[in-house]
Amino acid sequence: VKTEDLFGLFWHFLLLSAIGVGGMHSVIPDIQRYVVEQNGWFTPRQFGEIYALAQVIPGPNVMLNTMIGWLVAGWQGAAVITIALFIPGSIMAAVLIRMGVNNPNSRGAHSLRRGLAPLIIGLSASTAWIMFSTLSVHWHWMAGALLTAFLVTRTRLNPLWLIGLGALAGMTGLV
Amino acid sequence: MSESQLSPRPVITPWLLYRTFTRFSVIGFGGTIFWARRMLVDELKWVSEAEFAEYYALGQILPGANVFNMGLVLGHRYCGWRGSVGAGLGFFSIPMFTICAAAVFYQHFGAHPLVNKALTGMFVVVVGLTIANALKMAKGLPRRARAIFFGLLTFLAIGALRLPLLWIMVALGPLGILLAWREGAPASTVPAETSTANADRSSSGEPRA
Repeated sequence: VKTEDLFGLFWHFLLLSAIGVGGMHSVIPDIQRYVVEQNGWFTPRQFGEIYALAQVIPGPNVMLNTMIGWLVAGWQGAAVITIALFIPGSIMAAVLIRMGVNNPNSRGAHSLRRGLAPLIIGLSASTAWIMFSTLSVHWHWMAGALLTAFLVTRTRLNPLWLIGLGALAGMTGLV
Repeated sequence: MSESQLSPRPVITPWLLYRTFTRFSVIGFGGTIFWARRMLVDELKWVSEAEFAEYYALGQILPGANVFNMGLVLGHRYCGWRGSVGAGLGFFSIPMFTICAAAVFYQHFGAHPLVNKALTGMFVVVVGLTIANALKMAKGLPRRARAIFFGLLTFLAIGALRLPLLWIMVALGPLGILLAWREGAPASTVPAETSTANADRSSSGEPRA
């Protein structure tokens, strides 16, 4: 792996993580754009597979980014992205604490939350929409996703069971 | 470091923060937040339900991983900077290896037809979960013109037009915060004193679910 490639990876994920308000989940569209469309490291389908795998592996979902790092540039890529992931949050947390905004109920923290909440929701909806549009190749994929969304919002089923069912449905050729 | 015979609660040290955050981050199936809440609120009772929600909200507005950010602020509350480091490292030091093992698995077996089909089926379900999550969040949004306007604008810009996120955050973020600031301060539910290590944490008066 070339040093400048690692530096590029580090820099890009640092930026993504710095604007990833509401969690790295919010920047999935931009991550996909970077690794699929701009660099062609993964096909859209591979990206979906990696995304799904990172969700079912025990551990924070944010580790998806570490996995991308590993697949793109080995352990160095994984290390570089993992570090980049946590720097902006650490700096901002230090700033908040210094400013005394670390009490969740201070006026500053309250304004941050109230001001950014609509954006975070807009970003979640965007991620859902962009992910959903990658399924448009087959109508039954879209139907499966909508059925899942319906079941999760209407019942108290544990999502992990549904993911397991999804794996089974995939293996048996149902979806 | 020794525990008092009289106190049922252990003294919270950076090392304990590290171990606690490690414990729920290594098992954190399908998102760490569920397990974090279970451990910090239900099991250890370090924070009340309401406090947890507010610390989590604070973790969400900080950029990057929500639960990691929450750990930084919560860790600081108990043990200052060392507490932040303990909780923060606990969040990812072990899962980092788990996910790399998963990456190796994917490199070797990802193209195997059966594995591939299973992953595709899982992805379909995961997209459904993403949709459900967005719906759930949208339901919690205050029914105010400003909130709805900002939410829709963000969705149109990122989801529909696929504009780069950086532009949107730079343009809409500060504006949203400024408008919210002008609305004024909220009623307090968390005690103002947060910096003292192991301060009394039972004074929020919120019922525990």
